[in-house]
Amino acid sequence: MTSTCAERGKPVDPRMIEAVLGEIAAQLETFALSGECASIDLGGLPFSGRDREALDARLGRGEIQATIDLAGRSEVWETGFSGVWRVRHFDATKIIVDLVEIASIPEILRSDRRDAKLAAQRLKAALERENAVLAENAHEQ
Amino acid sequence: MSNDQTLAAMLRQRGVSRRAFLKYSSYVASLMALPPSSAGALAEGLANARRQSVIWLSFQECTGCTESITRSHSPTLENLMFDFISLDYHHTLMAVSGEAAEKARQQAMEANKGKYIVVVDGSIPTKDGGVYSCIAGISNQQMLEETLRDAFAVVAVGSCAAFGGIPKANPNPTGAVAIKELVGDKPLINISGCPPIPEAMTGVLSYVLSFGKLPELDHLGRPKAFFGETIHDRCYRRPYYERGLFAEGFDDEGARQGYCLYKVGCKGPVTYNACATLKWNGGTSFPIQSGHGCLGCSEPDFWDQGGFYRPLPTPLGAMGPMLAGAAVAGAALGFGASLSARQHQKTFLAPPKSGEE
Amino acid sequence: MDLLTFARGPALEIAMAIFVIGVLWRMVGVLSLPAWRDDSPPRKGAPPAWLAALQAIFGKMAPHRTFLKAGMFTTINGYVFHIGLAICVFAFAPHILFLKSLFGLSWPALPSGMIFAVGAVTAGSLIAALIYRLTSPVLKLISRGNDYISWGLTFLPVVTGLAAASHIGARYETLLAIHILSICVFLAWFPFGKLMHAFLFVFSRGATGIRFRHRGAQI
Repeated sequence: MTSTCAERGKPVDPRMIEAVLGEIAAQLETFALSGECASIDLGGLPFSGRDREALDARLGRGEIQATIDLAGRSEVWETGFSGVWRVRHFDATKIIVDLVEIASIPEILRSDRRDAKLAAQRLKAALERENAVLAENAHEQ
Repeated sequence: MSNDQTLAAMLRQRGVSRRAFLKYSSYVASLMALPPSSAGALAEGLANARRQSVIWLSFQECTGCTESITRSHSPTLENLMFDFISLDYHHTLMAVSGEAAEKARQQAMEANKGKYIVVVDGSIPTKDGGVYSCIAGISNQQMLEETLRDAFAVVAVGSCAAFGGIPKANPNPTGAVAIKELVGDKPLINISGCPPIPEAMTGVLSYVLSFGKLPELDHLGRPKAFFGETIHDRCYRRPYYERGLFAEGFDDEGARQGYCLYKVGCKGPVTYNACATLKWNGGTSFPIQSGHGCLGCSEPDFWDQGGFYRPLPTPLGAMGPMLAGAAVAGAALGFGASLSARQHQKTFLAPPKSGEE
Repeated sequence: MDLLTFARGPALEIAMAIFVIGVLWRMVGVLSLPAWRDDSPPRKGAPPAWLAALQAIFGKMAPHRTFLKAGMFTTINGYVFHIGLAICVFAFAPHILFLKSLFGLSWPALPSGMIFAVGAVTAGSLIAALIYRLTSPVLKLISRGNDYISWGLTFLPVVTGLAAASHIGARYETLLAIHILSICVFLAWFPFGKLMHAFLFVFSRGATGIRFRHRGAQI
């Protein structure tokens, strides 16, 4: 979220990255034992763009990548460490939220059951309409 | 006009799922330095809320605050914000004008009794019965009193509303006052700044909308999430300040190297705002990054702090003539004292008058 | 009006006015008194008055060797806090800016971290001076309110300056206001208490030198 102008010449801060990785490791262990999820907001830390890249290089990429098309783009991917996800919200080209989530799956990827309930009604209604049309066509023939 | 649908239902009608609330809430939580885990609760609160009726009153202002909030850098995401509120009255943005506008205001107040938020930008003149700013035939003071009656909360947006701003600056010919002088015991949030950072305005409104209460405020009524630290505390040029590397002017070597702007009048050390972290125009830059010292625009009476280019240690008064006068007065007293001492010496040491011995 | 605006505005104006009026009153008052005349002839080897005065002013910067051991602490500690005060006041960037706004002159500053260290040493040295004053049998006997007030009003700016620079104790603008107000009280008291020695010591030493050397006495 800091512009590159102010970061000119700023070196990567290895201690900051180590600290964040340490926290991720601790939270991941807690999640493995008890299932308790956690979320770390990188925007709230004194993290430069270079630090972010360095952190992502250490975390690597896993098997899943997802894109969300909602009020701008969002990118979600699992890192090389199972249970450690990156969630990044964009608006146009700028990152506006950058999270590390420790969970089975980030909340934003789940479909809400309340949305599903209404979707079920919509699907049912669509099927009924289609059946009615088919019945009418059959009747005409 | 706000209706009875929840925001979730409203968005669903447009084919947008509840994910929208989670994404927006992560954004607000990040802005307001809330723990990321609170995004879920924030999202639920928003999804179940009804469209919030907002009545925006504009008084002695330049419309800069409205310009700021409508130039939000996350247009797609913050468009959501404008969906979450029902802006029932706003001089610049509403379609109708004249009597139809005033009628809209009255109807909104009636339909949302006890639940609408009043946003105010601009100060209110009080001299001569408040005649110096009148809208729709009534004084600003009257309009505020009227509109506040059944409001849930008041948000004073911009330094004019929060502290009096430029109308209140010396000599304050219209008797301008800040909104806080006139709201009585209505819950009040001051979002100061000239103008305020747009995310500060939208973040606070989202918080109030989701949680139904005011965020934590400082002693001047400003949300601590945005006004908890000084510019100086988060300024990227701080290391130069500590090492004593300053720009002496705006085009010298120091300025080119990006040294600290303390000597050219930066008021960063005594100014509380989020400019150094959130920055302006979507995190692009802020005054110091662009080479100009902080004006202190989110602080009370910032127009009367001696001058934007006079460094902080400079006294506010005009010292020269005063000190010259004091020097003359002191010297006069000194001469007077020594004259009286000489006179005393003469009398004391004078030979006794003949015949007295 | 908030505290900082008051401190930087009316408080500083009034304090500086009192300072200027008071110092000039006393200095002009003393210096325009009739000159003390000694009509006796100068003793053999007596230097001219201006030289005698200078000899006294600079000669008295260290104690006579007879009193060196007894006066060691006061001499060294005195220099430590006097030099420390001078460095803090005249070599700190914001102070230089303040003086520049009054006199138009400025000069290079020392790094702020260094000033902080000097300030801390100065504060310690001032506390040592107070303890000495309270425990020395002679000083205890002859010390008056004037001495303690002068000490207090010198100590406060140092300690409030350290607090402001380290942002400890309150919000920064409050600390800054308190520091400036402590200077205001210091300036207002200055002409009327022991602090006037800053201007007077030159003349009193000089006068002593002239009188003694005229009569052939060593100083």
